[in-house]
Amino acid sequence: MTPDAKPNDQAGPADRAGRAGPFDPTDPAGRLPAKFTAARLAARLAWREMRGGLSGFGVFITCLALGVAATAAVLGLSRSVMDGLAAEAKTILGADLEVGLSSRPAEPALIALLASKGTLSQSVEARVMAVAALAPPRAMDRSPGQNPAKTRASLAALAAVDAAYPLYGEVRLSPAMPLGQALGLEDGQYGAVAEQSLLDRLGLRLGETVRIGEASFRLRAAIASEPARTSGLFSFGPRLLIGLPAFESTGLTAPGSLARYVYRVRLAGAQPSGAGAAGQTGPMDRIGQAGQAGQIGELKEELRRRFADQGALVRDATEAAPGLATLLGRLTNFLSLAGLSAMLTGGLGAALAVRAHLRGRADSIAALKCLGAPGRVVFLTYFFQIGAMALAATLIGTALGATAPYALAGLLGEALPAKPIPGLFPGPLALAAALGLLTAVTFCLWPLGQIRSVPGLALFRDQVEPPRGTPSAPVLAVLGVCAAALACACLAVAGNWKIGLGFLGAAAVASAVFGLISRGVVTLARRLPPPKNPAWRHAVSGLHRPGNATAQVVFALGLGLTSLATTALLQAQFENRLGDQIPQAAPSYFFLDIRKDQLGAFNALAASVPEITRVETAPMLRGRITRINQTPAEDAPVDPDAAWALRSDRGLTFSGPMPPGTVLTAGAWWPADYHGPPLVSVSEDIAKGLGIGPGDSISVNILGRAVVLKVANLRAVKWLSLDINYVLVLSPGVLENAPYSYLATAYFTAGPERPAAEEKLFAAVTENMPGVTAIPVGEQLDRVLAIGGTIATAAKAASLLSLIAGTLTLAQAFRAGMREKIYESVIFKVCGATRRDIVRIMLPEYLLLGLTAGTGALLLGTAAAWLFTDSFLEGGFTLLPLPAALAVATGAGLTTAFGLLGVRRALGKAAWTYLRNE
Amino acid sequence: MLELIDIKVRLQSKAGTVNILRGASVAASPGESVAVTGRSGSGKTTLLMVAAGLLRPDSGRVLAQGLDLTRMTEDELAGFRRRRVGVVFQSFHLLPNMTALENAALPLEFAGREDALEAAASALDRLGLGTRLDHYPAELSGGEQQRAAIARAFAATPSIILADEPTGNLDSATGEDVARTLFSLCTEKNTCLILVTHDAALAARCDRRVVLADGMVVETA
Repeated sequence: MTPDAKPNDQAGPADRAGRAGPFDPTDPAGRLPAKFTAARLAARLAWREMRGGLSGFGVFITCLALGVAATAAVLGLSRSVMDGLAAEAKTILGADLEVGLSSRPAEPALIALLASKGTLSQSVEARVMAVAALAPPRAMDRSPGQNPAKTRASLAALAAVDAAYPLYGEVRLSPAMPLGQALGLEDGQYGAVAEQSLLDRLGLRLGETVRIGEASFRLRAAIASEPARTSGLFSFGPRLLIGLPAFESTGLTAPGSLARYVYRVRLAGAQPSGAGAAGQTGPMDRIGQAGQAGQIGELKEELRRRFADQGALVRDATEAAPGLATLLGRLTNFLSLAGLSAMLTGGLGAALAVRAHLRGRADSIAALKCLGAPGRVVFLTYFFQIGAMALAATLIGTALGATAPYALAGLLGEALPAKPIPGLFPGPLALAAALGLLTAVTFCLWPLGQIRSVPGLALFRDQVEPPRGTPSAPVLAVLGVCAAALACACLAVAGNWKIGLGFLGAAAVASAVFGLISRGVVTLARRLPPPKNPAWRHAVSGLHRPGNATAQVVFALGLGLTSLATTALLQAQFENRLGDQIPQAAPSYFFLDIRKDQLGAFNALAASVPEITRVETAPMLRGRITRINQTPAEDAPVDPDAAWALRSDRGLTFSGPMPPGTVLTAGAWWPADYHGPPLVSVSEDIAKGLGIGPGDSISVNILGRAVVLKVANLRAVKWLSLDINYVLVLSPGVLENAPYSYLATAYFTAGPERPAAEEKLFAAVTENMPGVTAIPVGEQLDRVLAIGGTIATAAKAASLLSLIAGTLTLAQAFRAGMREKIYESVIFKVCGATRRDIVRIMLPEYLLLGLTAGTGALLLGTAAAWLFTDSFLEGGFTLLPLPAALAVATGAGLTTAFGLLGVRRALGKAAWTYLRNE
Repeated sequence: MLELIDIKVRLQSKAGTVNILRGASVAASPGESVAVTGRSGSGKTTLLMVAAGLLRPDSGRVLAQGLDLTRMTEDELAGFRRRRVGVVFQSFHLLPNMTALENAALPLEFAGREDALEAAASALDRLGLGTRLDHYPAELSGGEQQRAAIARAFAATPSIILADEPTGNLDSATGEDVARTLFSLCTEKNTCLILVTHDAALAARCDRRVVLADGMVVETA
C-alpha cells in the first residue's frame, strides 16, 4: 500500500534538493529505515489531525457499518437457519431414511429389508377432496365468512399412517390424546384428525364426520403440530390424518390413483433428532453420527443394487426438505445481494466523505508539502486516518451483524419447521468484515491517490485547489488488486458465482447508465437555450456549472433508488401477471384422478354447465426419470433450475397426433399412428437443464417398470398458461394398457355468472365422483400471490438498505456542497435576494436532480422488471404507472427534502461573517 | 441620503463580549463620497455591513432615503439592497461557479428584470469585459474580477455604493484603474459612495474622510 514516492515537482523542497532529509535510507546516523520512519511519522501526523474531531466521518462510518452489518446479518442468519434445519432434519423427514413410490405399494422384499434395519413406519399420502358429511349448518352455527351456498368440500393433504408414525417427534393433538386412539375404530367408525384450517374451511366441528373418497371418518381432534410436516408452503391443502387400515375403504387405491406410498425407517440405535446439532457436538456424538451415516449409505446402496427397477425415490435426512432448502438458498442469495448493493452504494458515500475530508484538508496537505514532507508521508497520513475510520466502521458493522441471528432466531422459528440455531459464525463475520475493508480501500484509494496533485506552491496562491487528477501508477495498481479482491468477496457473499457475476454485471451496468445519464444531463443543460424564468435559468445552469453536484447526486440517489424501484416494479409485475393476466386465461379447475370409466360421466357433468367454454382432458400417470442416457439420474450433472424434474415423480401422458398449440423447438413429432420403439417429447426448459436433445434417451420408471425412451423432439412450454402441460409426452404404444387416470381442466366464460357456474361444477363433481380431486386454480394462485407478497415485503425491506445507503450518500453529496451553497446564498442576499427568492432559485435545481435520478432508477428498474418478466413469468410485461411514479417521486422528494434542509441552513447563516476580508 | 446614527455592535465570543462599534455615526449625501479609514479591527467593515442592512446593530439607527433600516424585516432589507445598494468587496466575492455575465446579472434578476442578461452584458462591456462575459471568475485576472464585481454592484443603478477595500487585492496600476472606474461611475450616476480603505491616496479622492478607532469615529475631515 505504498503510493508513488517518486520525486516530482510537487514534492517538498528537501526532496527536490536531493539532500539527506530525515527519511533518507542512507542516513549515516543509522536511524530506522525510511519506510518505517515515514510510516511512524505519518501515523503521528494522522493522530494529531484526528484529535481535532471526527465530525466529517459520520456518513463514512455509517455507510460502511450499514453494509457490513447487513452482510454479516444475512450470512449469519442464513447459517443459523441452515444449522437449525440440519439439526432437525430427521424430524422434518420423519425418519433416517424414506422410500417413496407412486401409485403402488412396495414389494414385500423391499419392505422386509427396511423392517430389518430398525423401526419401519408405512403411510400413504395423496391429495384428496375432504367433504363435510352433514346437513348445511344453521345460520347461527355458521362460521364467519362461510358461504352457505358453497359445497363444503376442500382440497386436503391426506396421510394414512400406521401405529409407528411418527418415528421422530410426536403429533400433538387438541384435545390431547394419543394419535392411535384418535385414528382408531370406535363405534364402527374410523377417526381422523385435521388441521384447524381444514375444519374451518369445511365448517366442521370435532365429533362431526368428514368424507374422504367413499369412506366417512369421525373428526376426533385438531392437529396442533406434526413433526414431519415441513410447512404448508409446498402443499396443496391442509393436513388430514387417518389410520392406514382405513385407507382401503376410501377407494383411493384404485389403479391409476396418484397416491404415494411412503416407507420410513428409523435405524436401530439412531439418536433422537436434534441431538448433535451444529456447534453442539461432542466426540461421541460425532462418532455416532459417522457410524449412522455409514449405515444409511450402505442401506441406500443395497436399495439401489437390489431394487433399482422399483423406481422408488430414496431420501435420507440430508435431503429432508429440498424445496425449502432451495427456497431459503434463493432467499439468502437475494438478501445477500441486497446487502452487497447497500455496501457498494455505501462505498460511494464513503468515497464522497473522503473526498470532502481531503478537500477540507487541502491547505494542510499543501503546508505539509511546503515543509518538506514527501508524498509518501502525506499519503500515509491520510491513509492511516481513513483506514482507522474504516476499521472502526467495520468493527461496528460486524458487531451489529453478529447480533442478528440472536435477535431474529425466535421470529423466524415461528415460520420455519425448525428453530434457527443462533451463534457467532467466524466465517461469515470475517467475510463481511473483509468486504467492508475492501470496499473502503477500493472506493477511497482514488481520492487518496489524488493527494499528490495538491502542490505546496498552492499556499502562495489565493485559493488552494481541491485534489484532482489521476493517482500514480502504483496506487492504480493497488486499486486494481483491491477491486479484484472486492469482486471476489462479492462472489463469495453471493454464494453462487452465476448470481454473483450477474450482480457485478448489473452494478457495472447501473454505474455506466447513471454515468451516461449524469453526463447527458450536464451536456443537455449546457446546450439548452437558457429559460427566461431566472429561477429555472439558475436551476438549469446549476446542473452544469463547474463544481456541480449532478453526477454525485444522480449516482448516490440513483443507485439506492434503483433497488427500490426494481423491487416495486417486480412485485407489481408479479401481482399483475398472477393476479390479473393469468387468471383471465387460465382454467378455473384442475381435476385429478378421473378414472377411465368416469371420463364420460365427467364430460357429461361439464356439458351440463353452459358457462363452461372448454374442457381439456389428458391421460395421466406418474413416473420417475431414473437415467439420462446411461447415467443414473442422481449422478447426472443437472442444472439446478431443472433439478425439480428429477426430485420426485413426474406426470406422464401420451398422444398420437401432436396436441393442438404445440410449438416444437427441435426434432419432429411422430406420426399419429406411430407404432415403434418408445419415443418421448420433452419440454425444452427441462431438456436444456438435463443436457439432452433429440436422439438422446432417458429411462423412466413407470409403476415399477423401467422404460427407455428416445427423445424425438423438444417443445416450448408456457407453464404459466396453466393449460395441461407435461414435461414428458410419450408416443403411443407404451402407456395405453397401464392403469392411468385422466387429468382435466375446465375453462369458464368471463363474467359475473362465472363464480356460481364454477361452484356448480365443483359441487357436482365432489358429490358424484368422490375419488376425483378438484384443485381450484384461483385458490392456488392466491396462495402463490400471498407467498410472493411475503417475499416481496422482505425484498422491499432489504432494498430499503440500499436506499438508506443511497440517502446517506446523497446527504454527504449535499454536505460536501454546503459551503458553496451557503456562500451562494450570502451573495444572493447581498444582491438583494429575499429568502423566498433563494428558495425559489435553489429548489428547482434539486427537483431537477431528483427527477433525473428517479428517472434513471425507473429506466433501470423497468429493464430489470422486463428481464424478470420475460425470463420467469414467460412475458406479459406491462409498464405499471404507480410503482414507476413512486420511484421518480421518491427521488424528487428526497433531493428536494435534503435541498430544503440545506437551504434552511444556508439562510440561517449571517451574511456578514462570510464577507469580511480574510 | 444615508445616515448611521450612534451605531453600537457587540459580538459574543468565547473570550466574552467584544464591542465592535461603540456609538459610531456617519452620514453621506447623494453623490457624495465618504472614505472610512482606521486600523485593522477598528470596525470599518462592520460599519459597512450595518449600512448594507446585512448586520443588525444592537442599538442606533440607520436611515436611508427616509427609511429606517433597523426597523425593517429581512425581506424588506433584501428589497432595499436590491433597489438601492451595491456592494464591492476586497475579495470580489463573485460566485466561482457562475460566469461574469451571470454574476453581474444577479441583482437584475432578483429585481425581476426580464432583460437582466442583456443589461448585465452591456454593463460589463462598458467596463471592458465585453469579451469575457462567459468566463468564470477563476479565468479572470484580479482586476477583471473586481471590474465584474463593480458591474454587478452598479447593475441595478443603486443610489448607494458600499465598497470595502476595493483595491486591496490589486496591484497599484490595476487598483488605480479600478478606483477610477468606481469614482467615475459614482459621479456619472450621482451615487453616494462609502468607501472603506487603508489607502490614504484612495481616501483622499473622496469628498470626506472619517477615521474609526476602537469602534468610534475619532476624526472627520
